[in-house]
Amino acid sequence: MRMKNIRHLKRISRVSRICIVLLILVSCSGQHVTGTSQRSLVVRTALMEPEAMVYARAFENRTGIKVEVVRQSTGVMLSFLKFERNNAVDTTIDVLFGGPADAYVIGAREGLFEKYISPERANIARDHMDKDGCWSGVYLGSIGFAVNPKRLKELGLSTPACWDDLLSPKLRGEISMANPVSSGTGYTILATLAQIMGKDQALEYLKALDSNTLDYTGSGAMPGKLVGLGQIAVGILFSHDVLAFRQQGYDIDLVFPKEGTGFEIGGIAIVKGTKKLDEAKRFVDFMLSAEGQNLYAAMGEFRLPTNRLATIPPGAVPFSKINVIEYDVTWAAVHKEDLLEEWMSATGDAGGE
Amino acid sequence: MNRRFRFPIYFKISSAIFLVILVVVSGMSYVTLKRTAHEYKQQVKETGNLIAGMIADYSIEPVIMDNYSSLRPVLTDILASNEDIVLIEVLDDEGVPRVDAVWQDNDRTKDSPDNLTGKVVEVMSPIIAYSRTWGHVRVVCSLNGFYRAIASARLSVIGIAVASCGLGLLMASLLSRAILTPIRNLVNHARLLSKGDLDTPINVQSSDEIGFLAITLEGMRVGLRRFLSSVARRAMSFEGDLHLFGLPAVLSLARTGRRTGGLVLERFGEVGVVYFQDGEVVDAAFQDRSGKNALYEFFRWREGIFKFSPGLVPTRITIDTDWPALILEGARQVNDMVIFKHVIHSPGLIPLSPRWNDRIGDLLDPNDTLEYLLDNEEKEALSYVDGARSIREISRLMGKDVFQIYPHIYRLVAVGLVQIDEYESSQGHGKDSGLDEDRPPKKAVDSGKIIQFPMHRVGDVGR
Repeated sequence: MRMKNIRHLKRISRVSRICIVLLILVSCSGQHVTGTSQRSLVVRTALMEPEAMVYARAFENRTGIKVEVVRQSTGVMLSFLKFERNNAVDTTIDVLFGGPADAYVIGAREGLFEKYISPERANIARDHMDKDGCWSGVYLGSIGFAVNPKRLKELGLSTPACWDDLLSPKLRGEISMANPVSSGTGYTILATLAQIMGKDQALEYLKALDSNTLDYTGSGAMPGKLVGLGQIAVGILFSHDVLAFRQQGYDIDLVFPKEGTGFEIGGIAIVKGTKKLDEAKRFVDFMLSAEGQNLYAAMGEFRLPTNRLATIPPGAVPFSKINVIEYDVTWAAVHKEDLLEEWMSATGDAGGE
Repeated sequence: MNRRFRFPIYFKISSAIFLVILVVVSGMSYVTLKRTAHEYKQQVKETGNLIAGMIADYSIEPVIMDNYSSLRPVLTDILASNEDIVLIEVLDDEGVPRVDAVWQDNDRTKDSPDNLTGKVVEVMSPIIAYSRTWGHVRVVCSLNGFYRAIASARLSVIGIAVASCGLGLLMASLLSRAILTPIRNLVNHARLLSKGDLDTPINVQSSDEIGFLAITLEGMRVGLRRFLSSVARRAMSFEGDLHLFGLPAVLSLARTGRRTGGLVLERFGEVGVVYFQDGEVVDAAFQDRSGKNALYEFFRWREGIFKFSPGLVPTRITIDTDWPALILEGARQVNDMVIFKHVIHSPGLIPLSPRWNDRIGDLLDPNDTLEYLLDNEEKEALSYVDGARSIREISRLMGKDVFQIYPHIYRLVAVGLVQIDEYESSQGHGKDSGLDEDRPPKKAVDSGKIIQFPMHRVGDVGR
């Protein structure tokens, strides 16, 4: 019965999303540039594919530049770029879009990105982009808990309010989070805990949490869906994904840990060596622009835009209303390799896709 | 001659064997190919299932999260690494393809799924996670490569079959020729044998049954030659018993063969010789007598043995009398009923012309010596010989007792004017059959009456 309701809600969600997409396409169709349909751009994104496709189609209608979207986890995208560079292969990717910025910091340090100072950066906070122009932030999102109240009730538990609540023995096999090795979301959680508790304590905590963890997913948003489906009671993921699932009709609540939480700066960057540099710049411009970031609100997403001129989606949780730590993206990037190794050592999880 | 061509039996047998082998090999090839096809399909299906299962495992999160685009590069890589896979699809839980069908070579127009019926193996693997089926992976594996291999194998089998047929026919031809050539040689030799050529050796070099047959035929040829030599030798030097043949017949035989040599006669240890030169009696010797005196003495012998020896060449001529006169005179010296009965052992026998169809009256030429040699009684008796009358009937016509005309008939037989055929009545020779008129005539084989004089049995003497 519950599954039936979920499917019903899911179908409604799809219909509404398609309507929004159609609205966007219609609104942009007037600016469609003919004669440039041969141009294409390969965008790899950490965003959920349906959402990324909306931005891509909007950009196509806006510019006439055809975009091919492939969804991959942030860690996988970065590994792929390193593989291409190390093997002196002409890159097949033009733009990286979405995913926590620590991966972009690492990519910038390794010289994987073209420097591009977009004119739209003028409306973006300095902390939300690379000063050299290797990457820029296109959205913001904080880490939260997705909880299934019905499932918690069955377990006889109240809604977890802090990180330590997740260590309850009653939650054994009832928690899921993304794999820090392959997923930017997963690593943001790891880096957040390290910055809140200190590295050693965070690893102790994650080791304890591992006992309750059913699965480390490849996709950062996946735990939210599992919570929504009632497969597990608690998922740790970005809050905008939790809200998106909730909007899709899943029985899911969003909770922020009272000790504080980290956040991500969703990045965008042009891959070095791209043969579609102009098109890539136009796509970056589009996604940094208020017009592009207004699509978050238009299609019911809950990402916080980085462009100060863009509309904050209704229902999204601004940082001002929650206990967000001073998340140090650069620190996270610098210590990523060590942290991952220690995490794998602590949890015994080889991790990664 | 309009002879219809026929394939040799060995050619037929060889061809039949090759055809049987061909059918068996083709049948086995067909069964093997069919089994291979089944195994290949099973293997392709298992491989497809394995790949589909791997993709299904990998597809769990993308399918759950609707991130199908992340699957396309993976599917493309899998497709590129396995040319037998023509299509991979990822379907959602409602069976709707969510990742576009990925085709080998990106050629979607060449083979539509409908056109692939029978040429592909299709497998579906469910995407199961968290106690739920989220979708399916469909993998379509082409059997084109397999069918190409099968077609190639079939072509090879057919090619081998045709080549085998050709080779078989060639071998059958060569084999039959190898067998038939010596057989034809043997047949030719047999024909030569049948024509009397016993001098050409049968020389067929072969170590098989044909060689054995050739050796056997050669043995037969040698045997025949030896036998005929023996016969010829016997013909040259015949011998026998006077009791069986009578002297006139023996002399006639030597004359007919135009022999040169000596006819040796022996009785009770007494030996005499009659010499012949080209069939004519030229000399005779017995005890202290010679010439006709010696010759006539031999006519009176009731019994004895004789042997003709070509080595006894006459050295003198003591007799120059013509044959008819000489023989007739010799026959007239005989007045012994026992000797007559050697020739005429039944009054029921029918004397006849040596030439069966001639009228006996026409035998004597008015100018013939015999016309003058024969006396009246002999001529009268001869005039009644018509090939139908028996001796008894002739005696009645002559108004004489049957025993009285025995000497006349005997003389006529001796000079060759009359022949008494008693070919099958030889069992009565030398026996006193009794000249009783009331006794029924001997049973004759031919017409019941005609019995040939046994002259031509001389060749059997001593056999």
